[in-house]
Amino acid sequence: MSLRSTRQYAEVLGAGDGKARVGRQYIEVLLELGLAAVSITDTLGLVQSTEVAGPLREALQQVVFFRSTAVGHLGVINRGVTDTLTFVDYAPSNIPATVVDTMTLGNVGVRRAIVSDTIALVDTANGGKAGTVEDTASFTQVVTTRAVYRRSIADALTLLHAGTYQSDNLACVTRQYSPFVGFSTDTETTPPTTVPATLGVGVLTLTYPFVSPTTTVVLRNPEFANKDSLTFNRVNRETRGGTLVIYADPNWPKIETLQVEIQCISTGQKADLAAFLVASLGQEIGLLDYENRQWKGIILDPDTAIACPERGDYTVSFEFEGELC
Amino acid sequence: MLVLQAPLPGLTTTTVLPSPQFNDAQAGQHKVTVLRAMDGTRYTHVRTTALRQKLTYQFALTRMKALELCAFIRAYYRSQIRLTNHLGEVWRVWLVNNPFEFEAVERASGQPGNEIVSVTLECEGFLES
Repeated sequence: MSLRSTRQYAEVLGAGDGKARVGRQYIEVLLELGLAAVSITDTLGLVQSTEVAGPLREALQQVVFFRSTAVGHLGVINRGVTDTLTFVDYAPSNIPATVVDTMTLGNVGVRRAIVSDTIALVDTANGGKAGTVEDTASFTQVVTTRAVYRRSIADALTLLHAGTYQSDNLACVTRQYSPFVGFSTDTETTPPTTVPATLGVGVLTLTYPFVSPTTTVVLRNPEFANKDSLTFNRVNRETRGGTLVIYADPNWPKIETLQVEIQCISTGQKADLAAFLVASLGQEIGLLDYENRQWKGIILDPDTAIACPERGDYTVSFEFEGELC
Repeated sequence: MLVLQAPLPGLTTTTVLPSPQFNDAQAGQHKVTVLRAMDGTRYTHVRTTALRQKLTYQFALTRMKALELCAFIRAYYRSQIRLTNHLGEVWRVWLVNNPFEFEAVERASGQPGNEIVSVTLECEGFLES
């Protein structure tokens, strides 16, 4: 590296030796770049001093301009360009003077380079009077995108509304089939608003097979204390924190069973029923209950006893699992 | 009377039942295990369920009302429901019976369905107000 002074301006302050000064000097830095050069470092030290004969304030000014460029050729990447400039200005005077450092750094990084400007300004005002120390830093950084990657953002917000109602007609709501079904935008099932249409009075009729029955047994209606049981498959768990969690998929099976006891069966009916239990063993049968509701299912306990508590009077109880048709 | 409403939070269906029979019950679900050390010191291990309570109600319903309750259970057996009992308390509960048993106990001429059906409901949940 070599330096070349291009212009100098001198000023004469008075007669005698040492009364002249160099006011302004322009220097060029001559660089030689080789293809193999990886880093370029320029170090420039400028020292200017002046002696003042009287209480005359003089201004010192240094103008240095750096321009370093690292040109990336094919296959050469990640070159670093570093400009380091240190100004130390010192104005010795009992009169408050102004010390100003101005620095402008402009860095441009291409292809995911880190563009960083770091400026450390240290100003010290030494004087008999209180001075103002002020640092002003202005940073301007520009990041130019060479590609745009779009990301899709989706917000799904579902609002549901529902409403129900209730009538104060106690005589009605406490005895009759009268659920108050309002409206809902959810897909939850709701109970039917009308009583099952087939509900009536009949006898207990067993048929086998369910489709195109060939065997039919007609019995008396069951005694009271018959049970209609609903069993659901549900996950019933209590968490460590004591929260009860109940979950069930609507597609999971729902088991409905009927437990009936029938008395006063005649001898003929008893024989028919015994034959029916053997014939329909494990097969789907039809059961038309005493409310004229048609069921399809199986008898769970075909080994049930047909007891004879009195002469010509038989009693049987059985459990039926099925669903309404 | 006792009012069942479901599902929470979007209440759609309301079923009104008569007041339950006596022997209705409310019980906490806390568990205490007592251990005694060799020196006689007694230690207790507690598993608490916070404010969750178990409610038991037995109803004597007409056959028609029992059918309505049965339809309600079929629709909301897996949902949280709001229960307003005969004391005016509002509960947020699950129905925890399994199975739900509807037992026809006696004849009731003139009542809808001509029968009285006995049903027991077991619920677990929290008192809202």
